Order: sequence, then C-alpha cells, then structure tokens
Amino acid sequence: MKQPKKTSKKGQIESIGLVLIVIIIVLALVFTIPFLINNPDIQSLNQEYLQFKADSTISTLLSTNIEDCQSAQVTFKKELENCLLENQPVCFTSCQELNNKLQSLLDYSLPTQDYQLLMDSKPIIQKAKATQKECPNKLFSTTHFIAGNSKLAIAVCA
Amino acid sequence: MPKMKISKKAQAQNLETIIVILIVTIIIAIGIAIFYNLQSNSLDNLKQLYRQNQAINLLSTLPLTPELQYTEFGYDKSSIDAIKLLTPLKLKSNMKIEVQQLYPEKPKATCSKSNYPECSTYIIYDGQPKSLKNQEIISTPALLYHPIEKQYSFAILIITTYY
Repeated sequence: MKQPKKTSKKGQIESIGLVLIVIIIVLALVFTIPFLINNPDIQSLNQEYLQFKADSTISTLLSTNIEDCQSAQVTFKKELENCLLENQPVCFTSCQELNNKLQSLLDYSLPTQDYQLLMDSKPIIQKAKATQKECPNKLFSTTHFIAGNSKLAIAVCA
Repeated sequence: MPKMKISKKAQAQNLETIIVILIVTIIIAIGIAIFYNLQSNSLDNLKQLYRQNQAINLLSTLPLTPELQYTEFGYDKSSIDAIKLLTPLKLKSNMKIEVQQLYPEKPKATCSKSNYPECSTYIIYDGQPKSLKNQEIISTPALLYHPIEKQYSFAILIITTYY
C-alpha cells in the first residue's frame, strides 16, 4: 500500500516541474516575440518620407526657371510642354538635353533611390532597376498635368 | 549503517536541488540579459523613430513658416525667399539646417549679405554640439525664389540631426 503512494507523490512533483518549465518557456516567448517582429513604424515612416520627397521633387522641378534662356521666366514645365507638343524646346538645344538636365536634378534629389519620371504612365527618364518586376513596391508622387491632359509623375522604388 | 545510507541519499538529493536551482538561476540570468538587450534595441529604434519623425515634420513645415516663406502681397507662393535665408533662425536644437542651391549652379560658398547671390549654401541654423558625433541627414527639394533676379531655383533643404 505504501509503495504506490510514494510513486504518485514523486510523479506529482515531476509534473509540477514540467508545468513550471512550460510556463517559463511561454513567458520567454511572450516577452521575446514582440522584439523579434520587425517594427512596422519605421518602415511606414520611411515610406511617408519617400512619398513626401517624391511630391516635393516633382513640384519643385516643374516650377524651376531655366537659366540663360532667351525667353524670360521659362520653367521646366513649359519646356516639357514644348517637347511634348512641338518636339523642340526653347531654352535647350534638344529634348534629349532637357532630359539629361532633368535626370541630373533627379539624381541630386533622389540619390539612393531608383526612380522613373513617367509621362502618361510611360517612363521618359529612368534610373537603374525601377521596373515592375525588380521593384514590386513603387510609390507614386502626385500627378501634374502638362500641356492640357498629359500626366506627369515620379515613381520611386520603396 | 541504514542511518548512513539515508544521510547519503539526503545529501544526494540536496546536491540535486542545488544543481537544479543553479541551472534555473543561470537560465533566468541569461533570459534577463537577452530581454535587457532586446529592450535596449527597441528603445534605440524608438529614439531613432522619434528623431526621424521630428526631422521630417520640420522638413515639411519649415518652408511654410513666415520666417522663410516667399509671399507676394500676402499670397503664398510655395517657395522659400532666398533673402530671408540670410538671417539665421533662432532655435534650440541639436540640428543643422541648410539650403543648397543646385540649379542654376552658383559658386560653392556659404552665403552672407556680402556675397549674395553669388553663393550656393545658406546655413539657416547650426546647433552642432561638440560632444555629439553621430549624425542623421534627411533632405528634400525646395523651390528657392531670388527676389532680385525674380527667378525660381532648384534647391535642397537639408536637416542634419546630431545625437
């Protein structure tokens, strides 16, 4: 009669030990998992910053006056319209030269990002791997209308 | 003899208990160390987030402040007045705020009342502490208006946060 009682007590103590180990593991997981999951706040802030940068880049670029131009107060927006409608800019010798200048300014503004300057959803200026396949997460700036209804925007690879 | 046997068994059980307590203590100590590290990293991330948030807020609101904004007869022209940049801002922060004109290109010099407009860098505020070495730079394009030439220029507003 005495022998089974002893075994049962020992078994109970061992089960309590097992329960304690399980509780410790669960507590460790509860405290650790939140830290191991990537903090989404920083990612969303970076995306907001990129969006803001893309918006200010396009609006600043279009309002900038072109230097040493015979016609006064010609902006990049006006010059893009000239290229779109007549294929001949007023201040630059060719549309290619205008695009090169735009690209250098975009490179200054978005030095580490891949981007596309889109006219009616078609890229007119592009940097590196900003294609749909290589850049699944694209951020688009606000759309500006030039020459009536042509849409101009910047897509940045986030 | 039986007494000695019991004593030896008790000693072994005591030793077992001591070993178990030691192992549990070590596990708890390792757990606390890991938790402390994770907590510390999380706080660092939070601090970085706060710094970035503060700098981005400043980046978006600074060009709209009356101290810098170009207005014509009270109307907002969504640009920074270059003349206003020649007067430093009065702030209290571990930051450096500058505007760099990129287009049209100007001589690489810090702007002052004596060399304006033949300069490219306007330092609006410089609060770099000597003790802090780490820095975080964020920037955005900004439209710069030159009232004398009546020209809009392409510039970059740069905020450097020291920590």
